[in-house]
Amino acid sequence: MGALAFFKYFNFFIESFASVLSSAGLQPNIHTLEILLPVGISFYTFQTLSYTIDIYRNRLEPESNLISFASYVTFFPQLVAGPIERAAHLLPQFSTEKRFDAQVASEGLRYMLWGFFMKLVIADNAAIIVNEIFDTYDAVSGTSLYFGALLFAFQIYGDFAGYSYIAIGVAKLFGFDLMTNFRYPYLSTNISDFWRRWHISLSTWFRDYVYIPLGGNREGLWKHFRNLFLTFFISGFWHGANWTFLVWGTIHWSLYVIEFGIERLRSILPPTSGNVYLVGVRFIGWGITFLLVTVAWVFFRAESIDVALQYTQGLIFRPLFAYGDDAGLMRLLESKWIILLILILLSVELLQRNKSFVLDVKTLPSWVRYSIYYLVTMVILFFGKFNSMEFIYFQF
Amino acid sequence: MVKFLLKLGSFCMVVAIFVIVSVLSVPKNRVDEFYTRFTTPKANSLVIGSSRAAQGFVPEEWPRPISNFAFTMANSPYGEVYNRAIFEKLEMTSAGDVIVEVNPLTFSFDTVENPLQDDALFAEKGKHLDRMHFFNNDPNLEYLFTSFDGPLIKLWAEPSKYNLHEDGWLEVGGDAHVDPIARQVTIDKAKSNYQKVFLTKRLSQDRIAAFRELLATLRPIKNVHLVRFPVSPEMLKLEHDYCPEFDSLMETMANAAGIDYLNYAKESDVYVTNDLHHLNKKFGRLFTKKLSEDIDQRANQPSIEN
Repeated sequence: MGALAFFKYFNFFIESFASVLSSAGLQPNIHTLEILLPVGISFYTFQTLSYTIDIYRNRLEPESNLISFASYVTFFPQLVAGPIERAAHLLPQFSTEKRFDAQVASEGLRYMLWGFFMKLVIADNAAIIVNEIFDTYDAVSGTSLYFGALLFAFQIYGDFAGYSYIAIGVAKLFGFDLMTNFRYPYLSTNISDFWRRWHISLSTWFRDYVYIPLGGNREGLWKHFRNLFLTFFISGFWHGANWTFLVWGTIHWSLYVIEFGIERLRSILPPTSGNVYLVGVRFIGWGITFLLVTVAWVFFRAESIDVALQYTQGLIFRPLFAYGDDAGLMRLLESKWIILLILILLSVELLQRNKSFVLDVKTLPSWVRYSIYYLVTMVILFFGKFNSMEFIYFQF
Repeated sequence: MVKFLLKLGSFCMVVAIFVIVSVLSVPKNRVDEFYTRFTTPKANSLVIGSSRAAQGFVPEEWPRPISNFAFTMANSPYGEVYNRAIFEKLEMTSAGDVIVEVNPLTFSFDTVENPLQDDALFAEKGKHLDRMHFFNNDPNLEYLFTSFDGPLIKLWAEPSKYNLHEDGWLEVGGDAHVDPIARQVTIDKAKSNYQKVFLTKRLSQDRIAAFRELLATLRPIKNVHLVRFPVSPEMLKLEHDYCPEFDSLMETMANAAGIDYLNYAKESDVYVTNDLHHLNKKFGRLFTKKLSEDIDQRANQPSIEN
């Protein structure tokens, strides 16, 4: 934890402290660190923390084989951006004999194929438009701002879930099983559902090592809210040493609290039935959840709170059309097919919602499977962006 | 495992064949403004420099086969990156012509983006000439997947508005350059743009050193000619204000390398540009012809020693 605090948060605390002193009329002479953040530090710190805590809680035996332990901490497929593996799940796999299994390897390739689709087709194409819109947010129309936020939601999903799928796939090629990290998060019908589907390895980590030890929901309403707040706040801070991440975490906490209130209210109302009614409620819940999560992403993406606030104000007050040159809209029109690809993504996710991931097609006839593999590969090669960005979560 | 690898190999083979056949179905000249130059074999003779040479030198008008390997100020200013690319493209085992287009910006760096003149931060670093490993493949899949701006589908959906000839000449034309109002708008925009550009540029000693090295390597094998292309009088004034000693610097370097420096900046009012500094199609042809005649004339002149 000391290493993480030093490398990732030292500058943030020093600069924040200096800012407080400056606002008090003092002129502090501050020195910040000009050093590189060690790659994947947030991820392997949490992995080793879980190992230590589990041993402390007598849930795990200490590992006596240094090679196994070192391999667990530095397992290359997931070293830089997760999934954050628990020692109880991954460590024993280093001690078992590995034999090539064509079924598992094929599964691994399917995961990798879908990961490349998510990263190269969805995330990297969305990134070009998102960067243009966020760079010129003060001079684009309301329509551009909406598309900027919407596309960032899919950029970060494609980027991070794409990495996770590739990591899981690569691990499978070597006979290792990594935990599921994403389960169709944008099909969530409420915020708690979202957090059961998004970055699962991190949210369950916080649940097990922060929220439950704080008391969870066992010690009354206010302590429940406090525990939730601390969990979301720390989760936001984990993502980066910037106030924007803290606000992002706090927004999600607020949404959780509101949802909690609504659920309480619904529980005292007479029960309703009927498929049409339930589907309607779920659809409205999906729409509202997606909208709120997307707006919260603006704080995650913006360089500062000030920018995020101006952006969200623009979402409400900016005219939808004809605001200046609107470079963002021009860029969107150039790459309008990304919207179609996103709709296709959502549709196939909906179709495969009961499967572990979209390309879980092993039960289909061989010719159908191969047609799907060829189709996805061609979409990656012809629609993918191969010369662009590294993964967003590498910075964490 | 063997069965698994065979299946995977067959799958990849089918995909590769499909991609190659698809790419070959696209006219090379409509990919973008650079692609064709990475698909032709090594050349005995080259034109190198910025977009002024890319658009203003028409190899068809040259009496001997020559390829245009000039790019843009941002991609191909003189320096280590461009030197490497030139020697990947140029056949150094036989004689030939090398036309070296020079102007102050091809030796400059940006003081805002790179205040310490760190050569690792030069504008061309990380761009396609720096990234590429294969310069002479057809089709050039490395270029299409790492340097082409956009997903491959754009090859069919949005063909390039430029016409990049097999010999490397970038033919730029269209209504904007015929319609006098559109042309004036382009010129005004370019003028305002370059007024700003020159404010933040400085000559780079690293670039000049790399250029000297380039000339020294080329000179023993090739007929090298340093050429300053004609530009509009407005652009010439901007360049002169930015670097009044540019011509004397070029003359010094040319003399040191034992080559000619042909300065057509003095004839700026004779030629017509699209946008202050790129010769238009017609005048590009005329200029190329004139350059070849001047060079041949110089070659036929008895030397002073004789």
